Amino acid sequence: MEIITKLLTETFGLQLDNTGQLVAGGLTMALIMALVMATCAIVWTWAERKVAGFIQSRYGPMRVGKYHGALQPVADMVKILGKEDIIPDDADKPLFVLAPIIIFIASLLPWAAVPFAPGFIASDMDLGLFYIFAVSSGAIVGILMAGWASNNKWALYGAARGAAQMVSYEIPLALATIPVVMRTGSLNMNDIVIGQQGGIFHWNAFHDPFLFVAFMIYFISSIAEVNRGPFDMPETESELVAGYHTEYTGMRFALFFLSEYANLFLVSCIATAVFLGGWNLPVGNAVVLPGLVFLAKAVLLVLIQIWIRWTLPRLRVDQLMHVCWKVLIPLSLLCLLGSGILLMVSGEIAA
Amino acid sequence: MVVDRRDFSVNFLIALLITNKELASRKYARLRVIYIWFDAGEAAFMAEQFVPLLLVISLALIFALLFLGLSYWLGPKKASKLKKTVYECGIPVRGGIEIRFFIRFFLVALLFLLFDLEAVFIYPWAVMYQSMLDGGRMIFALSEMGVFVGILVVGLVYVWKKGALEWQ
Amino acid sequence: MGDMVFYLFALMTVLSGFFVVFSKNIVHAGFSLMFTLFGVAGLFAMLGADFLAITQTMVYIGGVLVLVLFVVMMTRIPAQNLPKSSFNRKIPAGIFSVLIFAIVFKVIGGTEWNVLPVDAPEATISMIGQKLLTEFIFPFEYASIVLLLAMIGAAILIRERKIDDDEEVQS
Repeated sequence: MEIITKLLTETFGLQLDNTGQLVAGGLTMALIMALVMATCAIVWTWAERKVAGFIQSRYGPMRVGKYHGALQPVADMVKILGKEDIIPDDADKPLFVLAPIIIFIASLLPWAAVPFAPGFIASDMDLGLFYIFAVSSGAIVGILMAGWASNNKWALYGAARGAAQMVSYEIPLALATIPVVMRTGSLNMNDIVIGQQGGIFHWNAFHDPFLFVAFMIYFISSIAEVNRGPFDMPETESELVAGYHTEYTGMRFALFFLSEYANLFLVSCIATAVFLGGWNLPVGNAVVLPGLVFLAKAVLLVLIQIWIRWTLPRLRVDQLMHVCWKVLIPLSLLCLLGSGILLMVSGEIAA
Repeated sequence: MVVDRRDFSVNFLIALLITNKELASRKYARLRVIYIWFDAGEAAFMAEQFVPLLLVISLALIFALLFLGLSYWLGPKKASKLKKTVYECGIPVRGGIEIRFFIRFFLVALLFLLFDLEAVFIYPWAVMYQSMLDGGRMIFALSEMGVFVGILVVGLVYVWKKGALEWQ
Repeated sequence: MGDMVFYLFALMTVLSGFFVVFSKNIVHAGFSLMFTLFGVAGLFAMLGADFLAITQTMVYIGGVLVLVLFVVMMTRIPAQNLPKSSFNRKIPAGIFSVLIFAIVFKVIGGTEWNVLPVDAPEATISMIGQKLLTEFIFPFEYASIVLLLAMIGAAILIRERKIDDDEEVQS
């Protein structure tokens, strides 16, 4: 934010008052954020198909673009723009139109508080982490809306399952970050990253055993939160056709698709910032190419998620609920207690 | 941006609410409410956090509408009655969506709400936890949260034992 | 610009609130509630209560609204089967509404608002944490007991259902 306003005022010589500075800086930042998100989401569709291909001993997309179908996602985007937009006669039209837009907004909003590099954050909020969890829950309403508006049994079942799964896994997701908040003493995403300076053992994930378990809980829940395999119950193609977006075609479907990949990348970025030291290098205190370091870590996490999706079989609904309520939630509460005691003991030793 | 809470919008609201000051001070002296306003410089701090969010929302809306508009402009429009039916694996649709939801969905939403509230309570506590060390009141802080979470764990165990978490 | 944003949120809250009340389609009313809740969150944020604004989003939009939508969808009644409110019912309902509005208006309007300049808190959450650990420790623990009671209620709800199933099997 400061970087952008500085650039605008100093390099381009714009004369801005307070309001102008805030709006211009924020707008530029938001635009960059949106472009980064959209580009990444599009690239992920290609990466997912390539990785899936290699895991299943085939090539995946090869034809479009010179190298390994590199332009495939671009071709897909162009193709999908030219597709017919079908709204079923029985659909609840206003809700049907509104649902993809709401999901798209809900998937873009959390990005405002993701710290890519020092000073490179759209809104340096005090309550950044809390805010991210809060706004991403807007997608749940969007999913229910899509399922209902489609007027299709399978879509409605998919939406109900999706909503139940997302609300369930949001609890371990939020609880797992609490030990980090206790250690940092802040919910500000910048503060959380800065608190992890000084090498890999200062990163939250590798700082102590409780935080490592918390990281694992976060990672598992985040896969479930973005409805991906092995937790892709809302979209089980063998029973529910395609889940809540069964009736959607063309660009409306693409908005769901983009949001899904944006969310996949988002949870990885949050894991990077909260647990894996953000832009900090594994050794030393120096900040070198912070944006790239951050992205490298997030990309690694996304690749692991893709790997998991194409390797593990899908869970059943009862197993899904079992894992969440009987394993992850008690475990995350234990982590909370353990971290509390550890902080107390280490604090007393230091004092 | 300077957001001055003494500006027109709030004053208008206050003017609407305060109808008769003399009467008010006599009759409702007990119901005193303090209306707080911020100095302009300090309010800017909040604006700095929330104005970018408004911008992101509008940007997302513009993008979504742009994409949809483009596809509407470029895409073919050859609707047919059959094409506009709801998908049901190619056979004629049987029944509407008056399906009955499993009651567990309701339970899950309810339990989520309770744990969500718990998380909302824990966050401020977690932020303050480290600074309790200086006052040497960490044990107090930990035990306070222990009681709070403990009561909820009792609830979770009860629900568990009652078999409400079994998805059958 | 502050004014404009304020009116935007206020308008959104009020209009969607009207829609919730007057919509014939109960599912539409439920979804419209989202905009009401979001508008209120926006107003909180404008008043400098960032913690409250985000809590409003998290608990109401993410939790309460999803619960309401589940209930509305579960007990789906086709629009034509909804009981029509007759004129006889509308009169007492109208009278009560006006009465409640008058009372609320009187109390709010009659309150002496002590307008005091206060420093805006820079970090609301640590202040709230401090209060929870000192002044409001009893309400804090009390809140967990309320949550416990709600959980027990939920469990009983499911148990009732089980008895129904058994009876169906027996009969």
